[in-house]
Amino acid sequence: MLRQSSPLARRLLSTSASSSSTTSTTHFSTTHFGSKTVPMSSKADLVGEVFSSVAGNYDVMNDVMSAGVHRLWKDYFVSDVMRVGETTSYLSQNPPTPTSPPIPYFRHLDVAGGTGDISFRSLDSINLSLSHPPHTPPTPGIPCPATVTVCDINPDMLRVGESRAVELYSSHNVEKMSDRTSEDGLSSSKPLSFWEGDAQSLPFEDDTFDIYSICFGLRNVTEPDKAIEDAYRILKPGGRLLIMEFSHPKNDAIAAAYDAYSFNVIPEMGERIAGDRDSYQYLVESIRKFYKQEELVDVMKEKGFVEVGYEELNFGVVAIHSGWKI
Amino acid sequence: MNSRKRPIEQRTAIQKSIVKNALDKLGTAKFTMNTTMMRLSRLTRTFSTASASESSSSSIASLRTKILSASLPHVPQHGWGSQSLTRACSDLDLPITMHTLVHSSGGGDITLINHHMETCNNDLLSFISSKSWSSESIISRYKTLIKHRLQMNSLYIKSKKWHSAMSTGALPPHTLKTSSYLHDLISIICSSSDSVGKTSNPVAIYGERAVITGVYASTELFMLTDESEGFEDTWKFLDERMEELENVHNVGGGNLGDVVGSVAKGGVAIGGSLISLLGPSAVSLATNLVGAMGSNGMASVSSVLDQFEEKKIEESLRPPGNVEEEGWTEVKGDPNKVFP
Repeated sequence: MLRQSSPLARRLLSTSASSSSTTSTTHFSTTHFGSKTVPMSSKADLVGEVFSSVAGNYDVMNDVMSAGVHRLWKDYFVSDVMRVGETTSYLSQNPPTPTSPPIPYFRHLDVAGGTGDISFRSLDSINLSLSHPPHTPPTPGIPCPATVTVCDINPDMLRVGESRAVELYSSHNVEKMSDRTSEDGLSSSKPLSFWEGDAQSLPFEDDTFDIYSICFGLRNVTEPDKAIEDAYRILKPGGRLLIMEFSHPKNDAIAAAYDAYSFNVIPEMGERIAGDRDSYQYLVESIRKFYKQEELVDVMKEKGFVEVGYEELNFGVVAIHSGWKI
Repeated sequence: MNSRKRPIEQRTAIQKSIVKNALDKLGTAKFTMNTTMMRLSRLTRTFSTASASESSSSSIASLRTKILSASLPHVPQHGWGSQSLTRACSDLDLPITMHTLVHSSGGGDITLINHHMETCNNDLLSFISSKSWSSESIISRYKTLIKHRLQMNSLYIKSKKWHSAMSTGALPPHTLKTSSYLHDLISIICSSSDSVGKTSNPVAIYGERAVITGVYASTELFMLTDESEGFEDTWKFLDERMEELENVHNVGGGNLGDVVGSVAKGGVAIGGSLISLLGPSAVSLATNLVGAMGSNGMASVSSVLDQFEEKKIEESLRPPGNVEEEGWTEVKGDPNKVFP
C-alpha cells in the first residue's frame, strides 16, 4: 500500500532519461529532488509524496537507520543548544496573571516537525521546569507562559504528530488543526498547537517567536533560502534560528564510510522495513545535494542573521547551525 | 615587557597540549553506552563563529557584555548559571531565550565567572589610576590593592557562591583562562610599583609575582571560610602576611623579588602556605584544599600542570644571554664567578 502511494516519486527517481530531458527543455526554473533536477513547481509535490508515504514508519525508520542515535541528536538539540528548560524555569517563579503583559513569555516554533520529535521534547522540558504534569489542563483564562507551535507542510505527518500528542498530553493541552479556535498563534490557551503551512511563507505574524527550529527539514524545502528569509520575518528581535540537518563530514575516511552506508544500506532497509526504497533513495540523495556547512552559514548571514555559527555532531554527519536576529 | 610575555606563551602552548591529552584519556571508558556516545559527538563537535560584518559582530558582543553585567547582581541569589542570565535578559527587556547567546560563546557558568574576573581586573586598574600612591610604601601599596580586589568578591563569598566559581574555574578546560586572569591580576598589582626602581632581573620579577600570588591566593582561601563581621579576620590575616613580607623585605634590602633570593639563601621561612601556593595555578590548588574538586583525575591534571609549569619557568629563564645567569648567581650569592 505504501509502495502504491508514491508512484510520482518513483517515476522521477528512476534513472529514466525522459524525466531529466523534460526538465532540461522547459523554461521553468529548476531545483534538485534527490539527485534529479526537477521544475521548481513540482518539488513540493514530490517531497509531499515521499513524506506521506513514510509518515507511518517515520520513527521506526529513523531508529533503524541511525541505530537510535537520532534520539541523542534531538535530546542534545533541545537540552543543550536550545536550553528550553533553563529558559522557562525562570517563568515558574514569575507566573503570569490575567493582567500582566506580555504573555506568553516564551514561544517556540518547530517547522517541519510534523511527528513531534522536537516539539514533544521541548514541551517536556517546559512542563518539567514549570512543574506542570503533562496531562493537567492549563489554567483557564490565563494564557500559557510558554508555548510550542508545530508547523509542517504535510498533513499526513501532522496527523501522526497530533494523535501522538493527544496520547502524551491529553486533548486539554493540544490544539489540533481541525479545531483551531484562534486565528493567530498568539492568543492560544493551549501549550501545544499544530499548524499546516509552508516554511517559505509561514502562516504567522512578523516578530512572533523566540526560537525557530527546523530539524532534518530544511533540505526538503523547495527553496531553502526563502525559508530562512521567512524565519527572519517571524522571529522576534533577539530571536534565534536553529537548523539541525544532515551535513557533510570533512574527514575523508568518515565520509567514505558514511557514503557507503547511505547508498547501499539505507535504501535496502527502506525497501525491507518500510517497503519504500525510492523514498529512502531520495533521502540519501537529498542529503548530498544540501548546502555544505559553510554555504549555509553564508546564506544565513545573507538573510540578515548575525552571530552565525555551526556545531558538528558525529564528525559532521549532522550539523547544527545557529543565528540570531537582532 | 616582551621578555616577560614570551615564557607565558610557551607555557600556554604546553599546558594546552597537556590538557588536551588528559581530556582525551578522561573521555574514554568509565561512562555508560549512551553518555559515551554523546560525549564522543560532543568531543568531535567544532564550533566556529564566523565574524560577520564588523558592525553586527561588535553589537552582538556589546549585547553579550550587557547581559553578563546585568547578571552579576543576581549571582548572590541565583548563582553563576542560566538562572541569573535569564533574569538579566528580563531586566534588559530582551527575550529570555537570549541567555543562550552567552552559552553559545562556550559554556554557561564559566562565561559569567570570567566576565567577573575581567570586570574586577579593569576596576582594579581604574582604582590604581584614581589614587595617588607616591606616599605609600610598596608593601602597603600591595596590601591596599589585594584588599581592594578581594573586597570585590565579598558579596559572592557571603552568599556562598564564590567557592563554586573557584572550582569551575579550576576545571581542566578552564584552567588556562583562569590562570591568565590571575596572571593579569598579579601583573596589575605588581606593575603598580613600576615607577619605583624596578629590577630587570627575571628571577626577581617571577619571585615577586610568586610571592604576591601566594599572598593573594592564601588570603582568598582564608576569606572563603571567614564568618567575621566585614571579613575582619581576613584583613588581619592579610596584615600578618604582609608584615612577614615587610620583615623579609628589609632583610633583602630593596626589592621584593630579591627577597626570594635571600629566602633561598638564608632559609628564612615566609610561611609554608605561600610557597605551596606558588604560581598561577594557585586557584586550582586552593580548590583542592577546599575539597570542591570532584574527581582525582582532574586533580592530577592540575598537579601535572604545576610541575610542568615550574620546570618550564626554569628552562625559559636559562638560555639567551647572561641576564638569567645573573639571576641564578644571585641566589647562589657569588656574582664574581660569572663575571670574571
